[in-house]
Amino acid sequence: MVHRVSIKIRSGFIPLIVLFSHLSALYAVFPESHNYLQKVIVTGTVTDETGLGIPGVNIIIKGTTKGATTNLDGKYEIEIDDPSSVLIFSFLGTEVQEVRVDGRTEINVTFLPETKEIDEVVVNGYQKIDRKMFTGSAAVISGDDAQIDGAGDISKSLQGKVSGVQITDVSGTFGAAPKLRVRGASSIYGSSNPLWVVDGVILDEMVDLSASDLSTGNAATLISSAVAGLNADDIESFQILKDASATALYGARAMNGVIVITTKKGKKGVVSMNYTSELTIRETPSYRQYDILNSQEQMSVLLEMEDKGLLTPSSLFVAKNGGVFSQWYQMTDQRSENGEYLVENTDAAKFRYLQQAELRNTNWFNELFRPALLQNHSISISSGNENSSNYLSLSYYHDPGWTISTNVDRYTFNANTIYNITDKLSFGIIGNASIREQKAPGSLNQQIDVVEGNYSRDFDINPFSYVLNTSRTMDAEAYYRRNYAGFNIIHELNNNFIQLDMIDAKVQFNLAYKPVKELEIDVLGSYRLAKSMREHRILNNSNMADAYRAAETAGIIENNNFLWQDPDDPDALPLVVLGEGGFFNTQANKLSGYYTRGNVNYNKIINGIHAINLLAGGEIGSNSRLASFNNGYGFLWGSNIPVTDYRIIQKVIDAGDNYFGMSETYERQVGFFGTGTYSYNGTYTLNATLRTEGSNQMGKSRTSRWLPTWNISGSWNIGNEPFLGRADFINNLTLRATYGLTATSSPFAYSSAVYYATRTYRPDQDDRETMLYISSLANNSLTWEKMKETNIGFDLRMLKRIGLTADAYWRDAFDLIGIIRTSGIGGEHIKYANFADMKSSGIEFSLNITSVNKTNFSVINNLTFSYHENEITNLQSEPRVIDLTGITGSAKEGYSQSGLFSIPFAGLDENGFPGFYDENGNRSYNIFFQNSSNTDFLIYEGQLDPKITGGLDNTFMYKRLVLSLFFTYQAGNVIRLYPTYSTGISDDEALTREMIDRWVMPGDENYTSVPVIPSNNQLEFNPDLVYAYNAYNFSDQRVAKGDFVRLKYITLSYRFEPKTIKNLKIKMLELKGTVSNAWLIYSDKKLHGQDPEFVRSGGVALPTPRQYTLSIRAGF
Amino acid sequence: MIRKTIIILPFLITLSGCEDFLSKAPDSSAELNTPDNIAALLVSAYPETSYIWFTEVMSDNATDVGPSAPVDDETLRQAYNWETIEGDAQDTPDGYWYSCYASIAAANAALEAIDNLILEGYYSRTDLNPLRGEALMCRAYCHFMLVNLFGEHYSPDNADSEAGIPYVTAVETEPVVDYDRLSVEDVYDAIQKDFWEGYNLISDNIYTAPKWHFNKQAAATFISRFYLYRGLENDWDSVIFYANAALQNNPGAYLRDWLTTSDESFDVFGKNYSKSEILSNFLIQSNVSTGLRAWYHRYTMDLELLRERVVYGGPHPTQTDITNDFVFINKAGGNTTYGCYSVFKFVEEFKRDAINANYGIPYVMYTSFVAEEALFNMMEGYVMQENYTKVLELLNMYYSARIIGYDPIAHEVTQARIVEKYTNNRNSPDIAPHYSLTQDQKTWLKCIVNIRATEFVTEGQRWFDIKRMHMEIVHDRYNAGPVTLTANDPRRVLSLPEDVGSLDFDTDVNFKLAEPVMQQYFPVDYHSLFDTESRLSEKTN
Repeated sequence: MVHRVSIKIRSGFIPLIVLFSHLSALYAVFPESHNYLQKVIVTGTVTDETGLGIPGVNIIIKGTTKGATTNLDGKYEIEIDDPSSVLIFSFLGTEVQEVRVDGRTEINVTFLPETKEIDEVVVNGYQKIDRKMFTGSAAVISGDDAQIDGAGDISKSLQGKVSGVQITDVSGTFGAAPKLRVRGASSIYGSSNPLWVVDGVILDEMVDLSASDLSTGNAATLISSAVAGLNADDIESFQILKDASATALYGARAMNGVIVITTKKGKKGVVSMNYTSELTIRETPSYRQYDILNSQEQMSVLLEMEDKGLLTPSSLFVAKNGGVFSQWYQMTDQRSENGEYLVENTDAAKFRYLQQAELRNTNWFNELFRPALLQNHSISISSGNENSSNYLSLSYYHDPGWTISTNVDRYTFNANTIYNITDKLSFGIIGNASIREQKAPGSLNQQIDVVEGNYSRDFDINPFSYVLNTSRTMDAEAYYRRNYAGFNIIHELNNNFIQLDMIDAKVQFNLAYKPVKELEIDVLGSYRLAKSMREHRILNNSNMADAYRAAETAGIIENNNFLWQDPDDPDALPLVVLGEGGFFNTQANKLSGYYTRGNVNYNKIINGIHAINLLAGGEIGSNSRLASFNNGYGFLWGSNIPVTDYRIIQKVIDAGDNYFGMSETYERQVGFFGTGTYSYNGTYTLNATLRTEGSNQMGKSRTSRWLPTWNISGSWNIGNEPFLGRADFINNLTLRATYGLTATSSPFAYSSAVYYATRTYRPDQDDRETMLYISSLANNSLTWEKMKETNIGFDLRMLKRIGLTADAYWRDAFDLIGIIRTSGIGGEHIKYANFADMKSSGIEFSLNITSVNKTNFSVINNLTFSYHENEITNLQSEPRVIDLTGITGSAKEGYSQSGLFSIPFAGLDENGFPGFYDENGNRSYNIFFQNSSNTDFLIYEGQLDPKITGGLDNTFMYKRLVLSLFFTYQAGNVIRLYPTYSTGISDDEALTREMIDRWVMPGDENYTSVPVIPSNNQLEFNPDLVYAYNAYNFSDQRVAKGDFVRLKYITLSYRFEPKTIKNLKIKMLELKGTVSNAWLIYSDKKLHGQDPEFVRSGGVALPTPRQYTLSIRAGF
Repeated sequence: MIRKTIIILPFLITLSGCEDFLSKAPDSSAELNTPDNIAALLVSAYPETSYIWFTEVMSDNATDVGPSAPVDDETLRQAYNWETIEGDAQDTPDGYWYSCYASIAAANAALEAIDNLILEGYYSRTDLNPLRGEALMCRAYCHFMLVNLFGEHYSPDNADSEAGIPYVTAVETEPVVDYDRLSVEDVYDAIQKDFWEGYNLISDNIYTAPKWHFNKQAAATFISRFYLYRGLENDWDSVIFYANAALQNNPGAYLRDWLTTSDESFDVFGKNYSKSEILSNFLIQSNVSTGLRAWYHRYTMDLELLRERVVYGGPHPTQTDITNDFVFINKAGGNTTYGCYSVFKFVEEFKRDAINANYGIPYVMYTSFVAEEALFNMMEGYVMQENYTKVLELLNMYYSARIIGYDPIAHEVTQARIVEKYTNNRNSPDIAPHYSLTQDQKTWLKCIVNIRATEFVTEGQRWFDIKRMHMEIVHDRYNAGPVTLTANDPRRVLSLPEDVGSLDFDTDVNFKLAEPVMQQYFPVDYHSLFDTESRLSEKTN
């Protein structure tokens, strides 16, 4: 237990209000005239604001060394020689008050906190520590400061607000986690996601997704955010624990940093109610932001393609997808009921048709996006008295959808009650629940074709991708060919969607027992169950179902993969095996887990000089995850009955696929920990933490199950030193240093051999067998991934208006899991083993300046800055070309953990074809993407994770009006541009303005690097061109810088004067307007308006929109 | 201090209780705790990739068609020129090395698990013997294939000084382990030791898909091949004994029926070729292979070579013109524009990554042991025993199943015809195995080896015959001079994979054991073995 003493490190020492009791009585007894030397005994009590005595307060007679200390009840007694002496009351070395005795014999002092600053305690999830006793690197941000109105997910709101924390908003879709890094990546292949801790309990993600998984746009990203079920209004504070000392108590799982969320509790006093309402509208994106060709420009490209023999009727009839040309030729082939052709196949008719398309200029954004009013309502009630406090809240988030195929409804409930059963025993109950219903466009998972090096997604109908990919010559109401069937995006979005339902509930108790004042025993237990169900509903007439029925012509039958080939009759024509209906595919996820912890905390202050804090405890946690899927082939929507053709099941099984499946994973952790802090006079503080941890993550074998981690740290509060005097220049200066070992259980690596089951692939089903295979051999030397971290930092407060917290760190990660190539003689050629090392370092600071501080007008500037770099110092494997050049990059020895490489572009040749330098330095059209033996010919572009990130917040306060401009920035990273180049341009594709600069005639190769549209003839005689155009996407021509400066938010708020609203019986009323994602001030031109943070991967991913929010807060 | 101790003590006590809690496997991985699971593990004790594409191209079943061929594959170019073949994907020597050793690891893990189950007392040694037998056969087979690719061919003169391969008999438990290379002789001894024990233990009854496992017939064919390759003085009895065991003394019943399949389309024929119902197929393997993608590749057969192998009756020593009656012609095909020809026996089974994906893994069901091999082994055995009557009997039986409209008189193979055709046949390279041959034996063997080349065309077997018979072969190169592989060319030994590095040569091992007496095989009751539930409950009650 730490006394809540108002020591405000950041804001300097604001004089305390000292109350003198019995003042008048004293004057009556001792008139001022009695002024002679005589020994007097002065007694009194030092209490906190609740009237409780504070033990260990030091009292010194000014100018002497004579002093006394308060006892357990806060009482003291001191003998003075001179009744005019001045007594200095100090606590933990901090002078808090000088009091003139003025002849009194009883002086009672109350240490009153002025306003409760959350800054003064560090909540690390295990204990609350006085900031002075805390030696690690941690940043705190209040829930109010972090809150961004109109944003559903709180994880994104920390962007730019905390130094050392990188947040990249890879998808703006609700529920999708951003890419979050605290001091960069700590592991090469493992997760680098920080740990979320809510009210002392780790909040796990429902699905464990890596950084690259988060960028896939797969439907699983919808449930990837651990905190999407939290209501921003319920959050009291965030504490971001950054260095090894701050996170030491968490042991293994905290290698990537910890974000501790404390939720609001009931406050003592009268019942109060708060209501918040946020109304948001989003801007429909505009073609002005993106360099997409308009329909006229697009048509000129199409006509060139037609000239080159790429849009001939014969090729279009067997083409999978098609736009206006394809539609034209289909119409010329169709007859109406009376036997006449739908259109006349004449040049004049064709010209008219194409001219119509050329002038169409369809605005797909307007067709698929809408500003729809997003609402968020939250109501909370707080009450409390001596014996109990309660906090209850409800919130409702309603998003009717930025696109026509998305919407979200989320409900949250939160209850937090604390009962003081006796003065020694308190009991708390916390319960939260959230319910989410969400709709997303129908999406299958992204696939990586390692053969050609492509990422692809079948049946992608992501509205944003659709707009950027689809030619503006096409009519929004017409149907064009896709997957050999009719397709209209609006119809498809209405007939092919994912319905996500999620429920997440947690119950928790906290028990605190204080047998004596110094000792507190805490027990905590929680249980959580979260379930989600994703129903992918593919209705009867959707394109995805019709594709299985597309068998109009022999050409289509031959090419359509969705038809079924009878394995017993290899010579027969493929057949339709989805006669009627659509699909009902479900994916369910479940997470259940419990966590209990007990710890003993001992706190003692001896003579007001020596402060000791000891904590020891143990914890146990278990998480079980279940993921299952079930694909219903042939479901007749409307009648809602299955109409499955058995042959479609046979098609699935023959292909070695499954139509249902399930997998379970289990995480079990046991930890024992102890930490001790000693502080001398609040000036010199030393802390040591030891933790030993057991995990089941490395398999059944015991060899590597347990791991001890440790940390030592210290701080020196120079501000307390007499040599600094009481200079006004420096109000406070604390130096901190930590050194420690942290570790995390190894990813993908088990100490015992792992056998997985699979079904053999043999053509005859009777021959198929269940096969167990060795996924990995035993590894008796497997150990945890470890990291030694040194951190030095300081907290400075000067001129009473400048605060600076800065840290520098060096991290030496070793025993990281890396890929090694063995002789293979033992049976496993490529292994995961602790053979990799990585060094990283960085500096970070946050600067807080009150630049103007007038009565009615003040300006506060807050700047955060982080610089982080890392280098893989040892990695024995060579990744493949496809890994190094792909969107997610790859680790390679001597480079950054998130390195991105490019195929060296050798310019266009005399035909306008792109060429590349291969591993021998020769010009080539065909790069071997699987090559891993020699990748040195690739160009290192830089890292995908930014080196520099930060934010700048400028808050202007005029009377009750507050204006805030919040900027975020990042620099030092590169981005692989969206792969748009291929030889097979279809007439439904949209092209970017770059295409205007394309090679058109010989000689152009000297001016441009945009390849020619190859003619049909050229393609036939150069089979390698397919590879060349694909390689172009992964060349140095297709990389942009990720640097940006963004005006992230503009907020303007006004808080009404209490007397104005008194008649309305409202205690508090605030109005606030927010513009989010207001302005991308700077980004690389090569991005052509694409958001440098957003990864355009289709599926369910959408960029973060610009939005306007009006919010009302009222307190009753 | 006392207080601290009191706090810590209960933790130390609970620490031991945690071990159970932490023993939960992190996912649904399987454990080798039942015979069913061990049997399932042994499904992966057969190599996942194949040697047939590079060995076929290294052999004289390939020629350089020239740049008219649409595919000029780097791996095959290197194979054709007997250069070091780069890469470790499917259809490369390195890839085959890794998948053989992966299979060996599965076999070793199974053997270890069998010992554990017996130690735990739930199962008796006899119960688990069939599984042990299969594991040993798999281990022996994989090592055998490797030593014959990556080592010099066995010869009693220098087998103890020629470097073979590491023989792995234990499961690896450390990330990096140094292995020693044994001599070819030691590897052969170890293989022999394994199959001596394994052969008598295996039981066809335990397999649900027996043609995909070392059944009795496949195992016997393998053993007969082993002795044929070793060729010691007393080995010929064994060659014949095991070949007979494989063919169950009735070779005619097992030969592949090529005669009635001539009307089948390539797709149908290919699918049927490796079906488990075909009696000739003793062991089928599902291999990842892109070999069939490169039918029209540069180093396939040209028309001349195709004719030599399959059209003019191939090696058939008859005067009669059977140009269009020899069965292989029905499945020979090619492309006149490209100038590429081949015999199409297999089809690719493409396993898509997802049901509609356009990419996935190409599988081919290759036949690893067939009845014809046992037949040829037996013939070679009889040649070495100079029992030519027996050879002629078998040879005529073989041709009766390979010539359409077979005429026992016109098509009869006689000693005179063999001598006439093979004494000075320019198309059949000279043979010089390590064992000495009489002039007659040499002529007969040349004939049989040539029939093998035809029967197993596109199946990669020819390379091993070239190696063991020390044939000199020439590869013509388009617009470049021919290259020759001499009878003792060091390039006949493949170089070890790059990642293997150099291995120590260990000569101080001894795998030799006394040869067991050939036992009549008694099958174990399948149901008593796999009824694990009742067995477990017996124990616990």
